[in-house]
Amino acid sequence: MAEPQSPLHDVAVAGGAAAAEFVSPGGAVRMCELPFLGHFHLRGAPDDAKFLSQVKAALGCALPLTPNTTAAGEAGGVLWLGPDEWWILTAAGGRAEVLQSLEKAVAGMFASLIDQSPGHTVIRIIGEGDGEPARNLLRSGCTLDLHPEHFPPGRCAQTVFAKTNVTLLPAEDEKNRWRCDLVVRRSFADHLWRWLEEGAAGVDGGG
Amino acid sequence: MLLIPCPWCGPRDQSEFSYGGQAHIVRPAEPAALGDGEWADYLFMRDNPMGAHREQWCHSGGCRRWFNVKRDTVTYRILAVYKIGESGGEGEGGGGAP
Repeated sequence: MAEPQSPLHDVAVAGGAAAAEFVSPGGAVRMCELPFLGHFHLRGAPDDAKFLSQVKAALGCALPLTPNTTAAGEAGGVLWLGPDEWWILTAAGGRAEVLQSLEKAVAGMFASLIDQSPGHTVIRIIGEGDGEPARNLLRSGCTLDLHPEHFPPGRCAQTVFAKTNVTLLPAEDEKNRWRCDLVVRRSFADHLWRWLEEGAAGVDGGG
Repeated sequence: MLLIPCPWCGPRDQSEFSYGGQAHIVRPAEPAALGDGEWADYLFMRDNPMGAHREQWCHSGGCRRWFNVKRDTVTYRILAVYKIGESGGEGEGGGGAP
């Protein structure tokens, strides 16, 4: 079987790295791709206690029922997408196992589970310093209020970003830097990457 | 540009939404029993009020849910937002009571 290829394969090859990477000229914005993560799309009734408990057992965390919030379990992150719709993002390594345990959890139930992993990728934006240049970059692509007070870690938001549908996932990394993961459809990844690369040059230095 | 309060996601920019026309239009129970005029009325004829209008919107760039909005067509002020299946308060407005 052929090796899977990330939608940003060409960017990675041009940069001589395993995955696409980018640092803005002034160093304020870093960007990299997180390829081959597991993206599992789950639908089911939020008022079905059996569905909720079995999925919770499989994931190691309860499905978030509050709009636009996330949960973190042993299997990975769980994102609220709609009142009966969730995304489970898992590390590239454990994809098959997580999918299998989810399949078992919802078997025979009024639920739907779809493996969307090959259809999506994640672009991670890391803001150096106070993160403001990185947020300014994202602000020029969408209309959300990205201030950490309004959009703190633990939230997620689906929006239209640079003319394509993107899910934003803010977080703080181990070096206390603000970062945001952008989940994007495979066919738009190249467009979004180049849009961000070009935009990042303009927001260095906080302006 | 409208700031539309999605019942799930809160206020979002209009660019994230799709418009779905007048709300609360009920499909006739027995279409075969209708005359051409009544059928055309159901299919094509819509209210065009100056003032409160009940309409459907979909948060297509966000949570992808359909919901109802009561909007003033003169001031563009959004008077109420409610989920599909809810009545949205008093029955006044373009679409009539559900």
